[in-house]
Amino acid sequence: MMPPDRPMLDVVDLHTRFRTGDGVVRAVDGVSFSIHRGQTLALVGESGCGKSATALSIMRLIDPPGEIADGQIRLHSVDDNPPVDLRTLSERRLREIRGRRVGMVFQDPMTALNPVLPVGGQIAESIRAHRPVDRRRAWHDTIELLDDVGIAAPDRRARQYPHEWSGGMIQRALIAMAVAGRPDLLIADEPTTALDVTTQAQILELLQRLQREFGMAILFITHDLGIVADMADDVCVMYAGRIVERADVRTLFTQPAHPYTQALLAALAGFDRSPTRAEPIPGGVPHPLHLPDGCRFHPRCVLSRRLAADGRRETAVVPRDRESVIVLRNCIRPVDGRDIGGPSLRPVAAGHDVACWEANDGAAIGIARP
Amino acid sequence: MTGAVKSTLHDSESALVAVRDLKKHFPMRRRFASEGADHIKAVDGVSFDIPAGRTLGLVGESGSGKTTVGRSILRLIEPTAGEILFDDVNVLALRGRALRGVRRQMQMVFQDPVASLNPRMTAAEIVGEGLQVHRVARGRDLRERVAGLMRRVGLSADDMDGYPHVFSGGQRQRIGIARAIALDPRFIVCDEPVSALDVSVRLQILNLLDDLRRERGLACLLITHDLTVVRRFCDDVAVMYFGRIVETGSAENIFANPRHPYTKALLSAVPVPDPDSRTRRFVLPGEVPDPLNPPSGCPFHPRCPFAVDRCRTDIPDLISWSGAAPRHRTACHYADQDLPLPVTVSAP
Repeated sequence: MMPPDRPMLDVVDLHTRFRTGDGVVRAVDGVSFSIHRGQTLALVGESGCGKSATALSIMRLIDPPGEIADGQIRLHSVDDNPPVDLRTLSERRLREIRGRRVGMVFQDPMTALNPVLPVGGQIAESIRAHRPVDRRRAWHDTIELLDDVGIAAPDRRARQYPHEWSGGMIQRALIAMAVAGRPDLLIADEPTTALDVTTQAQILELLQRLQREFGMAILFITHDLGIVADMADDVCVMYAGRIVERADVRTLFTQPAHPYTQALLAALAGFDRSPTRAEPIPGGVPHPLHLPDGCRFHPRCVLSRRLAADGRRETAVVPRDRESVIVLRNCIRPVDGRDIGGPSLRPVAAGHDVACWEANDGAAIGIARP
Repeated sequence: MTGAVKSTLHDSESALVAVRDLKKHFPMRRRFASEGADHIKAVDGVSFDIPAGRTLGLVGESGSGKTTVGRSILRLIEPTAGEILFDDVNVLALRGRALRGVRRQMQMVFQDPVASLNPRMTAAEIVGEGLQVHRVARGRDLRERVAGLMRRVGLSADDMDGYPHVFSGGQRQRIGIARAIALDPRFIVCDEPVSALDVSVRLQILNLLDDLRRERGLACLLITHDLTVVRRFCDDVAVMYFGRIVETGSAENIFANPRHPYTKALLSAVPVPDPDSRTRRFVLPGEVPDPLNPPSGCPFHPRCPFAVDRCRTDIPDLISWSGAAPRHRTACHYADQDLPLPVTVSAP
């Protein structure tokens, strides 16, 4: 998957959990990936899969009762300095890195700015937080930044308050702030989810242009496979706190190997105007405190059910929803004596990893692709 | 009814629901005379028909007026002008008992399955409330009917006594749908019914709505910003921009042969889940106009790549053109020319 050159960011076996009154939520449960300079890695998944918790962990913005329990977050430098581990870095050094070497853009632009201060002043303030410049210089740079991200009449606009701006304009301004320090890595957490589709197209185009200009790596978090196809070089598909499939974008869309990825793509094909109706994925995303044993996807898995019905593998009868269900024994086995198990990522092809005991590749499973 | 409003979808077929020149203007308090208009025209002359058993997709971005249309039809808000004909009866002229009788036949499925269910009522109470209020059933009969409705939407009768918080988003939306069909309506308005749901459960809910429409011959108004939903689940489409319908026709035609530049831009902006289709994107510049300072002429002209002088002065009517498919109508002076959008992005 990855070219041989050095990555910008290595996340290794990251574990982030939240202690709640009802138990421990393992929001991120052993996640590893790398992003290279100038490349975009998409982290795709549904609500509660841990994609935002992964992003916040990288920025070390996890507050109690949450904690980063284990793992490494290695940020490499463009020159020859050794990488730093953001997980163990001091708060003071971390502040230098946030905003300067790592920028972040969030989902809801309307809540990101202070409503009682003019937009331009807030951007200028963030510039001064990272660079020793006077007010006049910061204001000048603010106008330049706004102009650069396509805000018309930036002089006049900068004096306005957030409510006078549209969501798309504010997201542009926030992107301008995030890239003001020319970061090596930009983390974009669902940056267009709250926006209209034509505005979304504008923002995606802006991010692509900025990446071409500055060569920054982008960690793009989304639930939208259409955006993944548009933006990503590499993709990690997350489900219930884990990466279940990792591949370059073309492989993921043409030869998806994990039954979850296949089902997501098949569900999208279900929106095509065709006389046959695609089967939706049964059930819903599991509750984070009540994850299924074994493979976390197995209660919804078509492959597991088909192989169980086939009768050529060892099956087990488990109670579920006041009924008994026959499943593959393989899919429910606990792993390494841990309370919640599940298959780990293993390669099915060069640069293509899948966390499924039964998957070979898309063709072997034979789930129809459009 | 006025003779001027010919821009309807099904002139020949009999419509169960017919909306005629619907307007909703919200008054604005002006501080200065220079502040422009004294009201916002959220909906400004919208007309369409929905026959029984068919789904009309009302598409638009935020601020287009699509939700205001849906709420006006159900009289959740009072329109400023126009007619809403249900079985040829103008709903806007009805009061009291007559209005309640029609309302029973028109139901709504809301976007947010959390906010639209009362957290202090059980699933059975929520689903059965309408049956009770309209004195259709009570006691054991009520409970049996509710159990049947729950099963029909894919829930178990054992779920009846659960409160909304124990259900997932998809299950809550099923409860909302069971509530909507409890009184055997003939028309339902679905306002962004799957936008708040996980991608993997959207198709379940849309298939359920589609099955119910077929079974019961429901007329359905599906309000959405999501064109992929429209393409799969709607017979007809009306695209709204700035309070007006700018293009309408059969879903097949709108997707295969869009003629309004805004429709073309919308279709082009939807990310396609195919890494090989990256180069075909057109990015529409600018933003939706300020409703307090509406542009002259065609409201889309400030963003339109093809706008000429005429577009700045004349508001185009929603009309057919020579060679247009039946029912296909476009509010563009140049609909007959099928101008191709320039491609502004070619990703590496």
